Amino acid sequence: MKMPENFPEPIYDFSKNELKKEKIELGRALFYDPILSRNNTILCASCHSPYNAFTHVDHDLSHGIEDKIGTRNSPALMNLAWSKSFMWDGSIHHLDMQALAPISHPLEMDNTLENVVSALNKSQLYKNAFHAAYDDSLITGERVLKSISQFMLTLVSANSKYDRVMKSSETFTAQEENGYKLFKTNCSSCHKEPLFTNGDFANNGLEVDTTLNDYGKMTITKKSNDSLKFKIPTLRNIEFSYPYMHDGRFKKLSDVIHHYADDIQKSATLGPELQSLIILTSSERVDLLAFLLTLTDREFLFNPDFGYPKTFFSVKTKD
Amino acid sequence: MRRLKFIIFSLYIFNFWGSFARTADLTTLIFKPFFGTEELLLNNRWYKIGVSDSILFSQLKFYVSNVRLAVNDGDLDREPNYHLVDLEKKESMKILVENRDDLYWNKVKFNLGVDSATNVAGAMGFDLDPTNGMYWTWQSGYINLKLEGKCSLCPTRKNEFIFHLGGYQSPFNSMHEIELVASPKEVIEIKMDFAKLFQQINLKEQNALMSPGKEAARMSLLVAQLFTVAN
Repeated sequence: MKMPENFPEPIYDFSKNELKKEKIELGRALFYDPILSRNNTILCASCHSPYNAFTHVDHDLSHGIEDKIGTRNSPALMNLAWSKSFMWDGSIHHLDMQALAPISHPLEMDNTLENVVSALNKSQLYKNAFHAAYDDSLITGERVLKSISQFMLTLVSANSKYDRVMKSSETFTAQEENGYKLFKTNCSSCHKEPLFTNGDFANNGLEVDTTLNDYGKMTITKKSNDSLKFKIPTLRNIEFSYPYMHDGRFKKLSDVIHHYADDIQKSATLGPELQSLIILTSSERVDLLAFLLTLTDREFLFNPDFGYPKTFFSVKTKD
Repeated sequence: MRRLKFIIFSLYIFNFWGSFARTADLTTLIFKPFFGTEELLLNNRWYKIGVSDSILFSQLKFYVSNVRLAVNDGDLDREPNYHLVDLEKKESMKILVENRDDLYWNKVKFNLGVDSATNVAGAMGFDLDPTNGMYWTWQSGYINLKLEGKCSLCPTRKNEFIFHLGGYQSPFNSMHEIELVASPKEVIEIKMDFAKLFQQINLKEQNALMSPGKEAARMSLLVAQLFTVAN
């Protein structure tokens, strides 16, 4: 796994789960296998599609088992080794444990880790894969979670046009350059380079959707000063991860820019960075948009190592 | 003959002196839940509670971690250890503690629950494996104790009470350290009298806890105070 030179130290403790090719392959298979769900229909990739920056497109709220509609928009998965916490409300503290949430959620996969382990134990294909990964075919919850982590950790995005410009192997257009300046002035305190998130939580002035009444981090910490605070997502590959925000309310990037420039709702927990008006002319908005499009990393988006593992699933075994 | 008597005599003396300094090199802790004077059994019988009510238990599981022996203020070295004690699994009610250097000890110490560092250390195995059903799926963290059952006092569906106590972040940390004075023996019986717990909570008003917070922290402390050495 490549560690981008300009990235900070990873937060994930690799010493407790050292990367190994067979474990990554196993994790990848699990990521693309509906065996994780109660009725064998939902896979991780159902909401984290490799064709869409590992998120769910065209849906404001992601849907799961039996077409049930969930309560939030699935986040795009990338650069997870550098994440301090997971989920829009920060309820999960370690990448290894994140998979438990969708596996068990009644609107997503509606299953239990115990059932998953039991189902995998009935599969010769998986018994062989666990043996290749762990030197014995014992399938445990710990191994399932750690294997999925290993695959997810390999999803690194650090080769967008922006990255190449930073390395001086390419240059911005005048529009993109101006957009970058505007970005640094108005956006970078929360969407800090090079991860394009500082990993913190913020209230970015979204009006509460009264059909959802989602108060974000406060639902977990019960502290009133966490009200309406959601995790600041990365902006990498933002071109492909629509719709935007925790409830997918903005279909287009121009809607997002309009929100920040014209529509911030003031409330007690509104971030200090957003207290004063962000003024952007219409040509400046276009420039900012142009810059955001330079965060698209085609090498990441079309990497066959991240896609459906055809070879793994085409192996014939006596099941 | 005299030589033989001397040998026998010496062996006797050595043994006598030996037993003064000798302590168990392997001690078994056995956890014994009670309700008042009766053994607490699952789905077995209704125990009398209050004046005219009754209570039945259907599940009792809890983590006991960092079990170690100690002398006054000093702990005898032992690696971190984690045990899931489950009343449905008899063998899990016993914990073996080695005393490899055969040192003297007069205390047994352990945590009721899982420490904060382990809560955020990622997926772990054996007793800490999330397949044991003791890890919250919707919010990171171990469930330190599960106590479930029914009571005629509960105004809930099927009169059920469900207490899943967890939480590792200040100020609602629900893991507690327990220190028990015990004279060295091969078997130490640790009793928990749950009748005392129910004297301190009001099931009519408090009958379900499934997230970290003030109440879980309070109740877990009450449970920690139930542990005593019975022998």
